Amino acid sequence: MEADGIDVRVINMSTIKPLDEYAVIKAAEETGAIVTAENHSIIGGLGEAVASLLAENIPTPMFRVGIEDEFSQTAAITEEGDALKAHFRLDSKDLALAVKECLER
Amino acid sequence: MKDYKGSREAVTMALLELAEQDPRFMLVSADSLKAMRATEFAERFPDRYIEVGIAEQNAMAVSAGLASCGLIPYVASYCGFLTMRACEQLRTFVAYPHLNVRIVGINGGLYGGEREGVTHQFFEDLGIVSSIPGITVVTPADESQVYKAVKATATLDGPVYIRCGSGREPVVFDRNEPFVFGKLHMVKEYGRDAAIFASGFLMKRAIAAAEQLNGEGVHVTLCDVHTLKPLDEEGTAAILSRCGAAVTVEDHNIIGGLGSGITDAAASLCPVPVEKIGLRDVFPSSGEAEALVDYYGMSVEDIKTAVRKVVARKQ
Repeated sequence: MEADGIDVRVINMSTIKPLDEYAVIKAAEETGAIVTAENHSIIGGLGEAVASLLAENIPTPMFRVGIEDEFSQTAAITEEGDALKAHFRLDSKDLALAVKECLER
Repeated sequence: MKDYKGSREAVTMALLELAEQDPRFMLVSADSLKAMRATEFAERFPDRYIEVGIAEQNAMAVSAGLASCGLIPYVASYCGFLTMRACEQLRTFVAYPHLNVRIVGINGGLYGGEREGVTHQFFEDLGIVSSIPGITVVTPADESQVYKAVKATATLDGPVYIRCGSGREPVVFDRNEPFVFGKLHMVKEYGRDAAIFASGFLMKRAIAAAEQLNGEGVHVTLCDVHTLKPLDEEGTAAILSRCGAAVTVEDHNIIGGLGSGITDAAASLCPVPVEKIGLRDVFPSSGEAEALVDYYGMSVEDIKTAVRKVVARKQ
């Protein structure tokens, strides 16, 4: 994304509860667009916690990257790639697409 | 059964009528027959009533088995025990294979804990069922809406969760009021200062708040979100866009239920200020139903204050 001229701030939200509200609100104020990414359903995890916080403080366009409320499968992680990540759109390129989509809004 | 009173009897009435028409409908009880006021079902349809005793995980697995044979079981018990104690059975044996089990969860919310106290008050159930893929979730506002919800979802594909109460919840709607599955139910349209998305047995308070606000110069649109999942996203986005601010009202934790559903939708579709009314992520205590709900931040005044706050936050 840097090559495309998009500067992003990446924050590691290792504590979901209690959420670092200050960091999220500051990020929303200073960037204007938020993407969350987690190896979890988009329901009930980091994405939802952030969506809720933003709605209650600083409504901001948002995109949640994660498992889109569906059951998973079993697949192999090989040298060629991670089939599950690709299928569920959790790759870095999917993340970049999410950022671009969010910025358009 | 000639008539029903309260959400539990409403389920039983609907189930009796369904069972009369179609031999696939069954009742699975975890020593919850009396709680469901469903003795008549057991008497009239003994071969369609299964009693597992106080064993909710077994009840859920038995229901999965029945559904896998083409039957349509209603497993009815306290919503916390069905969703928490039998969570994994619900997820792996009902939801994953997408079976036609209807989970009737009674005693939803703080109202529900009046007689039996903190262990029988449930405010996490919607969060649990909403996080499991493929479960339809309905939260009807009163007894006649519950009755209609059971009928409306009887032959839906896949698992359905129906949130019911203690039987003492207020009657809000006329018995003629329709229940249109999957669509927002418009209750009052005083104006566009803000939207109130309410569901379940606090509807009477939401209606009172909207009416009082109207008299005080704040004009809201009040919607009943009786279908939590799948959420009517189009309808929700339209209301959010039209009003520019929203308050959610539910007898559930502000995490995981209607409030979360609406903020998720707002974040994706139409970011606007939202305030949530519900249990503020604390364990409540036992007590008289209306007093409890007032004490834990779900009074009519709390709703009105939230509306004023969110209106002030509009740009």
